[in-house]
Amino acid sequence: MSVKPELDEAFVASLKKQDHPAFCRLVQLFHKRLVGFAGSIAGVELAEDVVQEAWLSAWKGLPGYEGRAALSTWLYTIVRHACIARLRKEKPNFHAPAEADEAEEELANDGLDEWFDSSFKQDGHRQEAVVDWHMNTPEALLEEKQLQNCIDHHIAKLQPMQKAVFELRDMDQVDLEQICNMLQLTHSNVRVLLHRARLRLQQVLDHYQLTGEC
Amino acid sequence: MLNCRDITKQASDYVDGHLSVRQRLAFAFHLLICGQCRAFLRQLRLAVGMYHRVPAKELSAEEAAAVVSKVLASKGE
Ligand SMILES: [Zn+2]
Repeated sequence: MSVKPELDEAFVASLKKQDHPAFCRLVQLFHKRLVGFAGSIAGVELAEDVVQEAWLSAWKGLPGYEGRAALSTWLYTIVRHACIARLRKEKPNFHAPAEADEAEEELANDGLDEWFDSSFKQDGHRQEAVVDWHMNTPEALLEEKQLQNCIDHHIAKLQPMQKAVFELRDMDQVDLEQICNMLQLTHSNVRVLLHRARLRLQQVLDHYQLTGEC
Repeated sequence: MLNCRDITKQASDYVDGHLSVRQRLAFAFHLLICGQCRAFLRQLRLAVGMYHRVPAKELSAEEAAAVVSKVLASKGE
């Protein structure tokens, strides 16, 4: 990830001193992805607002940040807490989020099981040949702007937990262990959510490679 | 014996290196005889490699400064 080399000790030391330019840079780097993450937990309407609250907590907490958790994990955790606090406030009968339950529910309802049933025969063989991709380097895929927009569009439509896990792991390259902590999910849940998000996007890529359309 | 459906179900664990030696051997055996699954896994790896390279979506410096002003202005509430 392009962000990581910047989060070195000198940068963290500046942040701990509540250095204004360093904090601006931190916001610049993480704001969008934190808003995306907050959207997965608290819903898109509250996301921007909740992340602003989280930034204030982060600002206040920076002098005490001891670097035990990676900076990104620390930020995501603050956002997660801010989401929960906000949901409690908005919905008095809101009970603590059980991400694990939500994950289970998503896995049962994401339509992937039906896709498996229709894509494979009883004996486990494919119904149809794998689509042969003509754009076959990461660079070629990245250069295709229309495809990138199409992928963005479909990432946005993923179920919230799948989206959160996919963005953290495959886009931001956060460690699996950290993702488990951030989302309070087991390893196996995170892996299954990630895989299902990837399979969904693989279908999008197949379709694009075949038709040139989203 | 793994079939194509099994391979597809566990493809990320294979690509990400989460399988045991025994499971990897079972995978390797299927891939030896199945060009379709080889293509599928190659393309999955390709997609994951592409996601890793998607540039992080940042705010502009001005947008970031605006967020910070707003955040710090709310400090006294
Ligand atoms: Zn196969």
